[in-house]
Amino acid sequence: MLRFGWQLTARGRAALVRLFVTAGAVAVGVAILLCVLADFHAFEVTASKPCWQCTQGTAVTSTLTRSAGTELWNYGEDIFHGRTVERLEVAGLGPGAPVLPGVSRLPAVGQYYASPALAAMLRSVPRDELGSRFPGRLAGTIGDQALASPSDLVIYIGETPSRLGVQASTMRVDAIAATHGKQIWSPYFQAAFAVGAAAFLFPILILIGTATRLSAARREERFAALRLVGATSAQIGVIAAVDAAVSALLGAVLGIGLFLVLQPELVTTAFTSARYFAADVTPTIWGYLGMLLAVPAASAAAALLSLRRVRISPLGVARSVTPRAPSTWRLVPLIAGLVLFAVGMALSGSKSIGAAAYPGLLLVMIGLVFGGSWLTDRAARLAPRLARGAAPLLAGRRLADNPKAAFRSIRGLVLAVFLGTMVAGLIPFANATTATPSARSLTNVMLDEFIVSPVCGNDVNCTGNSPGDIAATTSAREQVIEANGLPPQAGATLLRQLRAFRGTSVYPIYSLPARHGRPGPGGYNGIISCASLRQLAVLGSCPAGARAVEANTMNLYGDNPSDTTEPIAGAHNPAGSDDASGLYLQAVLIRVPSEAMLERVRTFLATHTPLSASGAAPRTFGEAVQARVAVGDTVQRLIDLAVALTLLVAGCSLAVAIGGGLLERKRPFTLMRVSGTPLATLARVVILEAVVPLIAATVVAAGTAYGMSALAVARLASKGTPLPVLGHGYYLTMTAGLLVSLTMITAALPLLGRMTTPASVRFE
Amino acid sequence: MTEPVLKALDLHVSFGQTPALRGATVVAERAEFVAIMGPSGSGKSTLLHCLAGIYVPGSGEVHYNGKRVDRMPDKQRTKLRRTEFGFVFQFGQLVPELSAVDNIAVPLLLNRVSRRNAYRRAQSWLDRLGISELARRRTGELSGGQAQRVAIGRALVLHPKVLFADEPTGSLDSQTGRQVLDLLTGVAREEGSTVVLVTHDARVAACADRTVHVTDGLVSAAVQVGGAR
Repeated sequence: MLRFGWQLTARGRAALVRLFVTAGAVAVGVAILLCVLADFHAFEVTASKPCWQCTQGTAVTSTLTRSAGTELWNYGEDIFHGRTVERLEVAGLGPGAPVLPGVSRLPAVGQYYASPALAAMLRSVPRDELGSRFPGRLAGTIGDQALASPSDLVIYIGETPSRLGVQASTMRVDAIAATHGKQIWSPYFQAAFAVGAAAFLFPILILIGTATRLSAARREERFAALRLVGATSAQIGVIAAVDAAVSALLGAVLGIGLFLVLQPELVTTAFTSARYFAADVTPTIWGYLGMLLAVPAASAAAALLSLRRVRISPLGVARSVTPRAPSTWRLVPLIAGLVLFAVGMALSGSKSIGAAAYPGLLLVMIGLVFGGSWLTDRAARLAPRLARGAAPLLAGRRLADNPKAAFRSIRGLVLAVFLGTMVAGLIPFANATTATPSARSLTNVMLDEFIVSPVCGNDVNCTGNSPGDIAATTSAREQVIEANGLPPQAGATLLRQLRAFRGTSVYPIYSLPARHGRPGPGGYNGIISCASLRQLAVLGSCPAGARAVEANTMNLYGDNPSDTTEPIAGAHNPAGSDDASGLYLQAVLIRVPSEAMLERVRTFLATHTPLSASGAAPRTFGEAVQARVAVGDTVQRLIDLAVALTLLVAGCSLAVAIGGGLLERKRPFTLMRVSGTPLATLARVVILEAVVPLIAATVVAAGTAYGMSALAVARLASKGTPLPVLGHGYYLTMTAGLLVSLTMITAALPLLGRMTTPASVRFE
Repeated sequence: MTEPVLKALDLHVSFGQTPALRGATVVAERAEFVAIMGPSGSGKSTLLHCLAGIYVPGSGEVHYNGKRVDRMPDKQRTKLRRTEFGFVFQFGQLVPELSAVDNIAVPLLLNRVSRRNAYRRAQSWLDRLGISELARRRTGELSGGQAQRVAIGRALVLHPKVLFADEPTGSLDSQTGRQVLDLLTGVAREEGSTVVLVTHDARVAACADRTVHVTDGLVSAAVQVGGAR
């Protein structure tokens, strides 16, 4: 019977056409699925790479002793054009010192190894903007083992133990970490991927299912003929399963081929804005096997399931179920979800979201999927009333006949559009809370602090301590520097040199002498001139007549621009002395006129502040904003990608469903054309059948999501915040996705023309 | 003598190597009922399709009201079929998702008749055909005879000059077939339409004014019957 099933599958031109159309649709679904799996595999490989930056060491004592298998590390982060440069200065203390990942030996003194991306940058960027930060010459490039991405900027610099030993934050290391580090974002991305994949998998399975049921009516007629000559229902089942499985297997093989063609392009689709290594962007062997086994098996199961809905007797095929119009009750989850979300928002404040909002959001998503067929039914009934002519009538009646089937193809799309619109509405709001007007006014102002920073980013040496909480091993001089900043003479020299850069404005902040950097009564730990504050107005003001003011500067050194740009002084702050001689330089703010000058000044700071204890690279407030906005951008990019792909898959599903619908209606359509119905009218019918549910679902999902995001912004944002405005990227993604869908739909039209040509008509 | 409404001269049609018509000639006068008879594979349906402008013959001429149908471009022939001709087939010509009244209204909507007017006229045809109570029923809920009545209504709703029917009673029992045929000829007569009907049933052909016999792609005989009309 299996052999007979195979013979039926591949026998005759029509059967072969159906086989290849089905296989083509399955191939698209399989290829997209493999792309998603490959991307996630690359993400997981990247996230699980050994984190050499996480290496723990011991504090360096004042007397350095040579010892085998040990080296000195000083790890820090630098910034160039908003990108982080991971910088490790290293000095071996004896034979057998641990070799850094990606290189064959430690860099000698006066040499450095750079990652390929940084090496290329060093060759192309003027030396005073970047190269001067790194002493020595390039000895080679760092291999992939040490890099999470080919675009990573990493440098290993060889140093002498004596020089490195006196630098702040240097530690003694005898083993390099070989496990992956703290994955702050990975669990979130994994969860997001699981949810996204589930939402995305659904439309692909529907595409595959629709494809394997292509021309089901024709096939069922053939099965009826087999029943007439004595085939049992079980035998019919076997034939149907073989028919579906063969098409799906061919599709899976073609899909794998299509994926292999697309694979090189996937390196740029990394979750975290970086690039993946090409070798990592691949599904596992289980991914391939899954496609080759699960897809045909699922298709065979879908075929058997579809046979259960019809009764194939020797006298023909009868639908065992007449689809009923969807009831208005289908809207209940959606309405309940909207009410819950509104209640959650009503209970929300500017700092917290009401608990009811989360189940409300989930219920709305379920409600959109559950109520979609009702929506399709309403849209189908409305279409003939809104548009004149026969085409809307024919399309509307067809859709209303089985709205569930019509909506099935675009179910995943509704979720993707909903999520895409929610994110597009909320991300600008989230970004606006970071990029406050204060932060924007300081975009080109760079901050370099010289005391121990309370926030150290990814600095492995950073303990997150507040100033004053100083390791016991450090010398008294170092302790003063860590608490107060650069000594007066070094600070004065630095300021003089900084002012020599053309077009820059330099605003120093000094530590209050008696308090050693700790906030005293009123929280004042620094002093800034009123002339500086007038130039940096968002940071506060001075009491009347004062020339300098005592300020609480601790906020400045955080990592959230909305906090770091809050006023540090006001009219009620105590006036301070404008005589800075003898004061330690706590930090400096520098307004730079251009990007090139920014990098020149940063390079200068990196090489002329060896006493600095902060461990943090100087960066502008604009770069701090950008670092936060980048996370939102990544989420936005992922959602946009999901929306675009889902629209594409929905378009494929619609095209396949249209093809199947055309084959089922070959006779009435042909006879209509014979009776004088223009081909354009029939084409309009076909397009409307696809476009009405597509547009209706998109509009409702987008409208609901926008309304919810507007409500969230109204509740969570400060008063006067305007309603969210969806960006160009959102409209571009939606338009591009819809255009691709429409292109897929119109791809089915030549079939209509060929199938209904009057010259080929044969009447029984 | 008036010009015949339809005239086919020396038609030749082949499907690949197989000749379907080999010099067939036939005419139909205004308001005449012409039956085309012949055994299966004789070429009678092909002849009807040539007369209706569905097929363009390999050679020969087809005239409608003095105009060369075989020289018209496809678009013009499509318009001709939509505005001047009506069609009734053996089965399957109704759109399954549409109700009876929808099916009859479709040709009117295609001709840009307003929706309200189209449905009013479609309903009046259902009344005329005696199936007004079936207006909201869908094709699957109609019997074969009822479906053919709807098809006749759809074919005649635009008052065609020529009604082409291909085995219109072929799938019906004899009593229902007779009723449908009477309806078709009666309404066509009231409308003044010419009827060209293909059948292999001599009882159906007996209702025609004239019967044309087709054998092996040739019109072998034209018999003046003067039957029901």
